[in-house]
Amino acid sequence: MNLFALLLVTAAVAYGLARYFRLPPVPVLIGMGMSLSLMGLVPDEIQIGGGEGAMDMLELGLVFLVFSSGVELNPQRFGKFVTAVVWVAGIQFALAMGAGFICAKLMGMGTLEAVYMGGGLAASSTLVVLRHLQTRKAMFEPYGRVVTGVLLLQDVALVLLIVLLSRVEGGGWEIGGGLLRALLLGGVAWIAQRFVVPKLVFRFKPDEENLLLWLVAVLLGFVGVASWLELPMIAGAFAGGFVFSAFPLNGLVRGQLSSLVDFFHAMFFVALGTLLGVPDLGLWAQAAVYSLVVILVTPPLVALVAEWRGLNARAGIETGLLLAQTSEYSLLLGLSGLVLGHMSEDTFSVLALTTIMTMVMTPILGREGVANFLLPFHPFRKRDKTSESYRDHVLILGLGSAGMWTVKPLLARGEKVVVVDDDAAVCRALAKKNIPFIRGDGAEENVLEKAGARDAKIVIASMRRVNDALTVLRHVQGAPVIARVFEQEDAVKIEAAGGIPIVNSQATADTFMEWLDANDRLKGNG
Amino acid sequence: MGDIGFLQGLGIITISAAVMVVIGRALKMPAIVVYLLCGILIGPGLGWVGIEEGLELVSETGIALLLFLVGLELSITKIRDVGKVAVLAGFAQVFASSGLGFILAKFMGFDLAEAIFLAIALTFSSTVVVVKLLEDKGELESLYGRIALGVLLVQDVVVIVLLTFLAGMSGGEEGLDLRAVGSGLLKAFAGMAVLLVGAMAASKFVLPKPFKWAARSPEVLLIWALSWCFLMVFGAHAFHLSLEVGAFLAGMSLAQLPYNENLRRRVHPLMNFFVAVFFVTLGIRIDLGGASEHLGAVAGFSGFVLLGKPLLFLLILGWLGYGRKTAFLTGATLAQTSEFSFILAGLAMGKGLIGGEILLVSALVGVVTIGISAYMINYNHGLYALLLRKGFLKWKFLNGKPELTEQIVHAGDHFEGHVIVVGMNSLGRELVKRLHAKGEKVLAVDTDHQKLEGLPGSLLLGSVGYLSVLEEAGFSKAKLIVSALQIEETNDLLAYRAKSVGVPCAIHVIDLSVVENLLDLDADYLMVSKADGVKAQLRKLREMGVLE
Repeated sequence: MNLFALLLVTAAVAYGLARYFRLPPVPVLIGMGMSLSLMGLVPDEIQIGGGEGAMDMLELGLVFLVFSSGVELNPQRFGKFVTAVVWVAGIQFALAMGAGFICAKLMGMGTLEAVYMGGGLAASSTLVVLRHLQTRKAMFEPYGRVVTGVLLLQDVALVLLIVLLSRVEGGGWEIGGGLLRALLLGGVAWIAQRFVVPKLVFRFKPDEENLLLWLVAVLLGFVGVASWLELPMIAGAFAGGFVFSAFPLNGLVRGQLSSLVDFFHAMFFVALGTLLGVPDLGLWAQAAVYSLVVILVTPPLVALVAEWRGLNARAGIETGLLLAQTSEYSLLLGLSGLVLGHMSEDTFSVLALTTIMTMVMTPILGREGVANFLLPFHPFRKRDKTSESYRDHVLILGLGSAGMWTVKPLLARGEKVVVVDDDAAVCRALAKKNIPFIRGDGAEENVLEKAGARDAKIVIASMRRVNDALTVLRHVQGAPVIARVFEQEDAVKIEAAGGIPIVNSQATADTFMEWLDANDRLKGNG
Repeated sequence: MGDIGFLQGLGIITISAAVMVVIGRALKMPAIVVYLLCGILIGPGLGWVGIEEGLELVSETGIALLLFLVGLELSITKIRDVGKVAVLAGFAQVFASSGLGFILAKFMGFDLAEAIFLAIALTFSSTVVVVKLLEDKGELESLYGRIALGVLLVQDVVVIVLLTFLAGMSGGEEGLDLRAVGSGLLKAFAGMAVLLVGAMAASKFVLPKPFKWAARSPEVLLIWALSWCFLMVFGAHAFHLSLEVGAFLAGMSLAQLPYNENLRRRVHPLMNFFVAVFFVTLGIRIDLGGASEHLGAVAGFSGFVLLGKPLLFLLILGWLGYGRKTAFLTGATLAQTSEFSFILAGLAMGKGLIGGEILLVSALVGVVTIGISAYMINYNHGLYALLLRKGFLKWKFLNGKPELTEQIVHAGDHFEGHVIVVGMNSLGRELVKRLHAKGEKVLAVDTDHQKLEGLPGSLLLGSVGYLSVLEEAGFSKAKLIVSALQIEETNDLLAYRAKSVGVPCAIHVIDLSVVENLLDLDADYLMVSKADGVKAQLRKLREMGVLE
């Protein structure tokens, strides 16, 4: 109990600091755990290989962490971007792991340790990135979908890597056998996910308390099956989570699971920090080098592959920047290596410090301005070389999925319409319809110049971000600018900058009230 | 990564409990009874699991979280309302029960020391059982629920005194070390005073501002609340008080905050899991060897607890002016022995004051009375009606004062035919205002208290990911459920839940990729904000003369 108090109070401080400084909680939790070591407050109960009370709870925390990742493994989340996801995840993981391996070897590590390091550097953090996407309401964006998919596939890759490395000492046959057993476990999980658990849940309709019990029973059942198959318990926990990954089960359990996960996350990462102790400067320096590798290798790699698979340049860069950190799974990989004796404590410390540094950088790298800044440096980004100038036209910035509804009536009225969009597929469709277009980012000054924004009759800005619309307003003086926004507070900003805001939420409220009035079934009060 | 001995044990517990819960539900067995039976089956029955440190820790955590939740539920006002009656009834019951229990034990042939410990074991009721069952029924805040809780808290104080006495006792000829007992008692009461004053002061001067800031992030709020809980548990431990006292005071000090409901919902799943393990491990601890020799004693003592205790409470509360229903329900709620009985008997055995058979008898009485009283609590209203029909409770002194009459209200009872709007972004807020202006009964739901500020109609702070929030919102009786959220998973879940109760729903679509899912879920209306925005844009272009 006293240990709980210590870990939770430490976690509370960590969460407070993370929130105040707008940092991801995980690195702060680990950092605060390290502070406990620095202050000499590490409880004796926390030690690797210990099996009493406190360590038991931390093991439970570990399986819950992995289990919750498995629950999120729903391919529907990345929708129609499956191909892009598989390519981006596959190439990124392989090349990033290769780069990490080479760097580790150059730094003097043994081969096996370098493999662990490479794998650890290749995975990005599901916890940090998904939170970032949710905060920026970017889960629906193309890059948001791709990032989600990549993260989930990376988790699968790491679990498989942990399985393989746990058997590396047995040679090729052992590794192959391990893979087969992992596939068998995956198969059992798939059967349970598709045919068994959903039927049981909908047949017996457990209340929330019982559903939670079933959840934990399945988790620990799969951990048991993994143990029987001589696989690491992480594999079992992940497979168990996968059982609940399909809708609507994942929705039903998410609420119940979140409290348990938050509790165990807090305890686990603080305890992990205490295990690291106080690393010396040399280890910090090594971690800085690895962090640079991650930050310099991942974004360009991902951006290029993403654009090759159909994302526009900015989406590709944003995807790459968001994935430029190591993961909580990297720590699990390292922990596994440490327990098996494949990795030294110093190397594990370096991996953990790399994770802290790169996670802390994520909110900075994920800012819009960074992607905007890097966009001009994109080597293969196709730039429109047209020299035509436009006057008195209707300029549409960003066509999106609904833009043609505006273009068609304008064309029908005989208006000259020019479209600016960065999406290659959109531009191809416009070319087929002989509609003048400029391929580029509507928030870039030179693109606005080329599009004759200042000489337009009217500018219609359908930008994702209100800051992009404000950029357009700063550039365009004189011509009226209509900008669609969702939030009322963004409409205020547009109006203050001289624009004409169209507030989607107001429009939707109008339409909804009309529907309500017209719908006899729902008429009642009022 | 370590051995899986603890995980294996926990796995067997949860899998067995999950299976038995299904069977128990078919037999309409209360969950607690199922857990106890499960523990007896897998522990002394089949020998699959033993008690180890990890499981002990999980159980203790469950108790702490349960009492924390109880404290969260009850504000100081609610406690004060029943403080006097709880103290009077509590102490009266303790003395009466222990006296009568002692007489019964002597009558059954037990010697002096054994009779004393048995009497003590029979006296206390189980905080964990009572709170868990009343929480599940949603009747913890009822009058009888609060009285029962007050009595349990008074019993906790008595237990602390007894434990202190026991700690000061040595076995055999040395007898009672009065100095040790005296200093122990002083520390305990001083500690309780310090914790109580500290909790109240923190509640008023320290906690509100930081928690208001933390409340905007659900996970920060949860972790801060839990850390406060375990900090108070640590404080209780330092003063040699029970962890229940610390956890309860921690919860009570947060009960004054406006986000206590939201917090309660987040802590609930944690508590459910840990407490389930607690009850199973309670069953595992039972040693059935030699049980058959003591069946008569077990039956006699169980009868005393199941019938005698409720009768005592009927008499005491009736004398205090409470009506027959309140008095009966309180008595029926407290008709079991406590897990403390196990602890007390175990400690006494350790001191050489009693033998193993007394521990066995008290454990068996515990299991029997907890099992039967779980049914009594679950079906308490029906039982009351039955006894009344048979003419058993129609005593004049139980007529009671009108102001002390029971009113049972469940959450969600007062919402019907209303419109629930989830997600207070610009769209949600606009919908709430317009619906309210139209004369609709509107309930606005969001996880951020700041977003709910200034809105007309009813407000509910909580995440619709929790079924309990939807139940509190009375979603099954709503006219319409509207989601303005931009979170795909939550919208899908809401549509699914609405479909399951046959309530129409209108869901905000931020991206066309989610439409198919929502149509599969029979969402009645999809609010496609982008399309609506484009239509508004076209209207603007017409106004400006750009379009006809």
